[in-house]
Amino acid sequence: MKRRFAESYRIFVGVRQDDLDRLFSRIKEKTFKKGEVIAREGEAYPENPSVYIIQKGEVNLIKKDSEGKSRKIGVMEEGNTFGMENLMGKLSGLTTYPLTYETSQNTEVHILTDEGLKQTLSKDGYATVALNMTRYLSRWMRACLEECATMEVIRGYLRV
Amino acid sequence: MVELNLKNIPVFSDLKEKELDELSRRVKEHNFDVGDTIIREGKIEEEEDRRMYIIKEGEVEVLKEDWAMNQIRMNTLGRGTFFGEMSLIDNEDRSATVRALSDTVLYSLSCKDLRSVLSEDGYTKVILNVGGEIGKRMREGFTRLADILKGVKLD
Repeated sequence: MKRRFAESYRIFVGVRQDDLDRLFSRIKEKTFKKGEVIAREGEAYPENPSVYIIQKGEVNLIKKDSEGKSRKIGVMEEGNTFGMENLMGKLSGLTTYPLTYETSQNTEVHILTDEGLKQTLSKDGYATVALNMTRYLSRWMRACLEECATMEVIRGYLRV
Repeated sequence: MVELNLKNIPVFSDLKEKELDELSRRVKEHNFDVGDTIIREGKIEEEEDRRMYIIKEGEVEVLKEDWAMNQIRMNTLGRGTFFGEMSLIDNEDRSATVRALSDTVLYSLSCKDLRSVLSEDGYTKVILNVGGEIGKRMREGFTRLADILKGVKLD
């Protein structure tokens, strides 16, 4: 199950089979109940922030606005990956979670850490996963920019 | 001769001296007048044309087109900052327009040169640093989105 799951996800595209075989043993599985917070905005990163791949369920991405009110700014669904923003953020010197990740239903995830990837993968494999994760993040940021631009227009129409 | 210390640019900060020297030799300099478009949103570039830019002098604005084709300013960038780094890792079209807000001098490096000059380790470091930079910029995007949603009731 883990094997079939891992092979089908974009962050592993291009990784050699022997690397993937070793990686399967390092993937942890965890189930969060509906309403559970996986990580909270402003909390310090652990030594190795995790990357989560949703196997089943849904996770809301929540961010406080400038008045401190929580706003839902996105949803991660089955097959989506999140947490690269934290893994990469930590590598670049950031120290706290930018978002709260809260499940909106019972949610099963697969969990990986940068340390786990480094220890498990060959140099080639790690380079490939790093590139895939950065690409994934780049596309996510692009979508975030698109949404900002769209919402600015909606706000403009609704402003009184 | 281009005077540039690539070590001061965060995405290159942990490369070896030899790689930095070699990259510095591949840097090109560009001059833009106020109002000039440097990168156009949606443009698809061949790998040999894809470049990242570092601002030597001047200021630029990053603009995003909404679905009504209005250009919305997402950010401004000044001396020492860089843009276009996403083209190093992605072969998609340009995600935003970048326009000169003043007379601007830029340095640029091609995606192709980065691949050919850097060792595998060096390239992976740059990729991870680009990821880190994207992570930082995403934070600004998340904050902006949360604030925009203050004025839009969707629930």
